[in-house]
Amino acid sequence: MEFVIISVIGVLFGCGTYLILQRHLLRVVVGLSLYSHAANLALMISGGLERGNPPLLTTEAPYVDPLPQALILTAIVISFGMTAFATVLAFRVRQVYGSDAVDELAGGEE
Amino acid sequence: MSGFLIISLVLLPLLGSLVSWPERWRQRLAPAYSLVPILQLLIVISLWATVQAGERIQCSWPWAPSLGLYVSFSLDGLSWLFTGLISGVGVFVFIYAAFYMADDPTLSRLYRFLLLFNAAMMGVVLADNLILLLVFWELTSVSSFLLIGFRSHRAAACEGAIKAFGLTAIGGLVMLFGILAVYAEHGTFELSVLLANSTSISTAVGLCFLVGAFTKSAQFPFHIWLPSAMEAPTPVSAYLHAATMVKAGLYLIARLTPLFADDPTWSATVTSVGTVTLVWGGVLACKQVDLKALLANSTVSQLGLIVLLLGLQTEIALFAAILHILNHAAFKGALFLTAGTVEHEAGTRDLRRLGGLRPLMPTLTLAATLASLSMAGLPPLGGFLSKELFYEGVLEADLLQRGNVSSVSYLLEDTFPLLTTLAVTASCLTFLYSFIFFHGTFFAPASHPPEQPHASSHAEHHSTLGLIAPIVVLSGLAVLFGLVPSLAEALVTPAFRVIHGEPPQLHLALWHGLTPALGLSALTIVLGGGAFLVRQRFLQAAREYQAAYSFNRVYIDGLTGFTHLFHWTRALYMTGSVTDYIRYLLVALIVGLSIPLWSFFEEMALQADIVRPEYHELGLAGLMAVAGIMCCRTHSRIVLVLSLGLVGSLMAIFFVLFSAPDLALTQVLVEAVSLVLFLLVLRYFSMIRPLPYTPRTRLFNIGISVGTGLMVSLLLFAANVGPSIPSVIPSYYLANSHLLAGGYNVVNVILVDFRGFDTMGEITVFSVAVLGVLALVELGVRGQQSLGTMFMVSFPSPILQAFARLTLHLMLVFALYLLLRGHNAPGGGFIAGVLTAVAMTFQMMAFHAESFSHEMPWKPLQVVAVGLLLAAGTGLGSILIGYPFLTSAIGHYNFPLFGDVELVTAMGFDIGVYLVVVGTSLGIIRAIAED
Repeated sequence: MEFVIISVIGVLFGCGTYLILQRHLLRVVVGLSLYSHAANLALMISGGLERGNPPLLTTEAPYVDPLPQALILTAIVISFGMTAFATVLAFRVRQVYGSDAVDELAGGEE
Repeated sequence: MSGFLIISLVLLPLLGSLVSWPERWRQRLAPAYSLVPILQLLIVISLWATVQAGERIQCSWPWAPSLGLYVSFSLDGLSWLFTGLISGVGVFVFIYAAFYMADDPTLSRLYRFLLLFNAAMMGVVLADNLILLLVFWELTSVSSFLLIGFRSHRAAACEGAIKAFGLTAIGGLVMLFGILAVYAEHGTFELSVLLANSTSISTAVGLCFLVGAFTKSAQFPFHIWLPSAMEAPTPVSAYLHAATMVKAGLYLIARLTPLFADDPTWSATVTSVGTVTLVWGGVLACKQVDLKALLANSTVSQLGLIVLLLGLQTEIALFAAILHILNHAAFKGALFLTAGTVEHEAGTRDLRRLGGLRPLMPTLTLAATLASLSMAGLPPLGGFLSKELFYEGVLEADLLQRGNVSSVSYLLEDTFPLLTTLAVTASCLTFLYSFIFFHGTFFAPASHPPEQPHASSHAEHHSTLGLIAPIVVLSGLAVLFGLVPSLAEALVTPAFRVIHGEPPQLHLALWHGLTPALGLSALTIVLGGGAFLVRQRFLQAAREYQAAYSFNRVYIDGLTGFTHLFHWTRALYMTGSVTDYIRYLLVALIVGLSIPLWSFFEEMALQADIVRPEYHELGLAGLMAVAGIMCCRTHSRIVLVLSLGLVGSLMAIFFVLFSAPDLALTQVLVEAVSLVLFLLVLRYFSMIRPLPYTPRTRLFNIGISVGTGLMVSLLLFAANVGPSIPSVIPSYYLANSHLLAGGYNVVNVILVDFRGFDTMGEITVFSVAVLGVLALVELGVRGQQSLGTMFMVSFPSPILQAFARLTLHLMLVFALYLLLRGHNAPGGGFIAGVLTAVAMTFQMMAFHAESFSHEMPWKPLQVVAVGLLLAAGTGLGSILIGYPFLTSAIGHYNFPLFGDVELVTAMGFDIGVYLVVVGTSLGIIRAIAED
């Protein structure tokens, strides 16, 4: 199963990269979100995959490694914050500059 | 006590340069800066006895001992001679400057730069640690830069400053390589240690040091900066570019000579570079018509002479070198100041317009003539002594050459005394330009009346006294060294002993009997005098001759060439497109990862325990991949957002399948909030236009994407394929979660207790997101279409509103339940917070967003603040009772209805997290909705 998930991570990273390289800002934001999903999956497999052994001490041993889960939990929340920020930023750029194409915004400061 | 004295030599000017007088008295008080060199000179004199006894004073403070860095100073005979030069010439230059720039409002600034330079120069000659030496060395370059460019409104001053700084900085950099190589080889930066062990240092390292010394001392072909540096005010030229700074390179060569005593390459390089500089500088000096330019080129030549002597490394040569350092400082200092006074009084430095100043300035004429004659090497002046020794040194070298193989063998023909010939030639040139200098200025008939006729009436008025006295004293010294050779000998001997190791056998005297050197001196006078008499025949032609290609040209062309090269390379890759820069990063990532991964997979062995996949899991994984590809393929904004949502939901399912209930809850709720967020802004983005790129770019993008995905996969494969390393961390958390923190949900316990400090940071970062969003929204142009309200109210649905009313309290209670049980079962502050945000968002969608926010008792930012304070306060509470930050206390309480409840202080922290998440999520959504 690990290798299946690793392949999925690869696909998600590839898709995220492709989207980040696009000119439409919304696609760039979605690309970033795909990156964080892929990263979370990568963290998940790092603790080992186990079915039906949640790290709740009220259930029977054995338990799955709880540390990656703690990491992922904060990562999900933080990436939500980041996605929200990026979305609003993109939206704002669109509103103020009248364009959401990356290359049309480039070099504006010079 | 002695250590304190040495330090004060450096600290006094450093502190002095920080002193700034009040605006009103600045001009009048500026000369007070001269106290510093006077004090220094007194200190130097007080150290005479110590140095005379051949002792060495050292002091050292640790700087970064593990890196071999110490603030260590040491003073021996050689350092002492230089400190004497710096402070002695300093006194005269400082006093002179007060008169020279009496009416110039920048005088105070000049003094402060000069003091900075003085400190740096003292540091160079006193530092024992090579790195410390380099720091001071560069500081002299910096202060020289400031002083050359002192009249910064003149383009030539700026160019000269840049040229001088650029060349000396390159030398400093090369020297740094040498210093680091020494450290790598011998493990110390301390000069005294290296010298005491007579460490042998490789020739290449020696050459690094020589590049530094040659650039500093304006040796061929780096000599071009010194004439350009003459844009500096004349006192600066006298001080930095004649007497002291350009001698730093000589100091370094002399200091390192014992380490390279047996190195033929070192000595051959030093000798040949010195010889070329000596002759070339002399030729250039004779051509000049500007007094300062003449002196600058003559300085180049004289420095070459000293370098040549240092390269010969014989007893006579070394003694002559040090003696000439002393002589040169005296007569060249005097001559530069003369040029300054002449310019000050006559208004020009042009030899073609000067002349006939003798009757107007009799004192100056006498002093300057004596100094010039000393430079020309005529008896009974100081210059004669060093010139005699110089001849003896080169004769000895040529004789040595004839007898056996010497270090300079490749330079010299087997029988022809090349070195002596060149030495005589150069001396004749010296003779010639010395005579041109004083004759042209004072004795020649005035070909053109001086521009300022006041020179005649005010020739000796009050300011002129100050402009002449320092010159008289310096010339007097030049004479004194000749008349009383024992004085010069006494000053030189301690320094000589440091370089040569033993006291000198020779004794200075004006009359040595009829020696070959005396013959050469006579020959020089005859040839030089002859050339002077017939100078009109060739001088004019020489002055008009412009070389097709000079070293200055090389420098300028090199500089512009470099600039063009870098503009060109920059234009190649700095396209101004962010997307391009991301491409560079990704290509670098792909290439950088492929190399180590390649070697890894060559010797890989599969050892990990693999979980066999179930069919439904395979299906889900496939679906996720498809959803990801959908994101890329679609040109519909709504499909794009929904596909992303699908990926997120599948993530949640994976979390359920693989024993992560907390994550699943969080992910599902976050997906809900994100979806609302995207839907809110979606219609304000433009359509995704198909085929935005050319097919080639598109193919390139796909290539990079596939490559990145592949590399990440392979990296993870490599990371997971090996045997898993048994880690104690999970078992520690599992074993102690209940014991130490009183919780059964280990993930939550890690978040709020074991790693509570991290969580503290994370919620802070999270709350910054809302600040960012609010700032963006507030910064926007007001009065534009208010999209949120439009979106909300355009779909009023009674069914939705009724449902929302019904579910609000249910959801809030459930959130509370999740929050409270979080320590022991899936739930906790993060999850409950997002759930509350979902409930509130739902309300906002159903009702008018603004009316909803009116009903809210608190503003989101207030909620965030309270949450952060609560979380931090819980942690600080444990400090108050003497435990580390965020230590938990556990207690059991019996509540009616609930029964026995275990309460942990971490709960307070979790509530803080809850409030932050609620406040932030709501703040973001509301900011967009209401805008």
